[in-house]
Amino acid sequence: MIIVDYRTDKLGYIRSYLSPIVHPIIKLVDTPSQISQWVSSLLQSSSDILEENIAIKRDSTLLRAKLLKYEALEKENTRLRAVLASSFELGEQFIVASLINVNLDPNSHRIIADKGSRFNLFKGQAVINTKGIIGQITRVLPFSSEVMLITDLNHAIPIEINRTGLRTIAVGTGVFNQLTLPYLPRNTDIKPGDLLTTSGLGGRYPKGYPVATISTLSTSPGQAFIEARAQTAVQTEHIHELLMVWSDKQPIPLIPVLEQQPTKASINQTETATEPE
Amino acid sequence: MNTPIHGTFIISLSFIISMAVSIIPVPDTVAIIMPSWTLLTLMYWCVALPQKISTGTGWLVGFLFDVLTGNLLGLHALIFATGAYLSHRSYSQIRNFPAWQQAAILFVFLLFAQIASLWLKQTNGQFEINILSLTPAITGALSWPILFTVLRLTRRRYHVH
Repeated sequence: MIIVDYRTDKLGYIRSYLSPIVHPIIKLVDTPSQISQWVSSLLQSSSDILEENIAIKRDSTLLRAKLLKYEALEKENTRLRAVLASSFELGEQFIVASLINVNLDPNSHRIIADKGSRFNLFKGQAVINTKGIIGQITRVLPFSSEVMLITDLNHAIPIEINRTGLRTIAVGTGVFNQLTLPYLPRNTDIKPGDLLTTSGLGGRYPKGYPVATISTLSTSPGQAFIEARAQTAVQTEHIHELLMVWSDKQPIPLIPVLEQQPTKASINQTETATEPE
Repeated sequence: MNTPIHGTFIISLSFIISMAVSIIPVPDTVAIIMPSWTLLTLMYWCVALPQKISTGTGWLVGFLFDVLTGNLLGLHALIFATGAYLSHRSYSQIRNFPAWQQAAILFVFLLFAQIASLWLKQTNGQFEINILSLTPAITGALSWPILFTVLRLTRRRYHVH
């Protein structure tokens, strides 16, 4: 049975049938932290809330103003990509889930989110928050899903060094909030503080989200590669909300069919048109 | 009151609580040395009610534990069944021992279970194994007298036979 589960995915349905039985236990363990959150929200004074509200409104105005520019840029970028005939991520959709506070196994970095297959989450889906990449979904159950953090020893993420555009792979270390970059040649242009973003290669993670910043570099003589460590953008202990990403990867039409922003229908058309190639 | 159903309820409740305790969020350093509460509870019931709880129950509980923690299905089932078998086999001896001697025997069982579990988990994904990985056996043996007392009081209080 262990071997079957290890080699195949066949036992997944047993797991999803049985998970509602044990789900109450997870909920039960999560309750104290929920209650404490609820109580602390009750105890917040109204002046604090007012202040927070003002700050949020200000932020929202600023972000909206920035977004205006971003939209124009995105359109321009899409047009340019279309000229170059390369595909471009049209946009991403998110669903918000929150973390269930349980500790499954001290040897692996996995967390549980409170949304599952009922929200059409799928295995391999990228999970981010407002700071950057958190990890990917490794298992979807009806009421919950399991997210493997990028710092898990069995996890590797394709990244790009933001400053130079160099692409490489960051591997989890099994230590919280730390990644290692094992495949950097000695002459790589890299220095502490460099931002690492997702490169979008591999298709799991959407391109351009921050992953980590380089913290230490050590070159020991005789070693072919630089030993680089990076601090993840997301601090694991501060995760409360998770965003599950659907990225919509569709090829841009070679010639802009319409003068306006290409609509979904026109994209589908060109897609079917180019398929025989 | 229907005694068999009542007893089963108490036993399942103890298993549920032990599972809940095993997944309580604690700092990582504590999590590494936490004993397997569910296995200890299972071993207690094997010693206390050998006619009721044995290898089959162990397997079932382990299976649910696997579903709960998202481990390979059957991993804990195998380990819990083995642990249940070991303690079920020697329940008449364990019962007559003083607490520290029980803890010593349980330590051997737990060590065996821990090594087996680490070895099986290693097949699923790599992680670091060091001497600290074996501490759950020690802490498990140390917490055995407490757990034993608590569960015995519960058993006597609710007349579980």
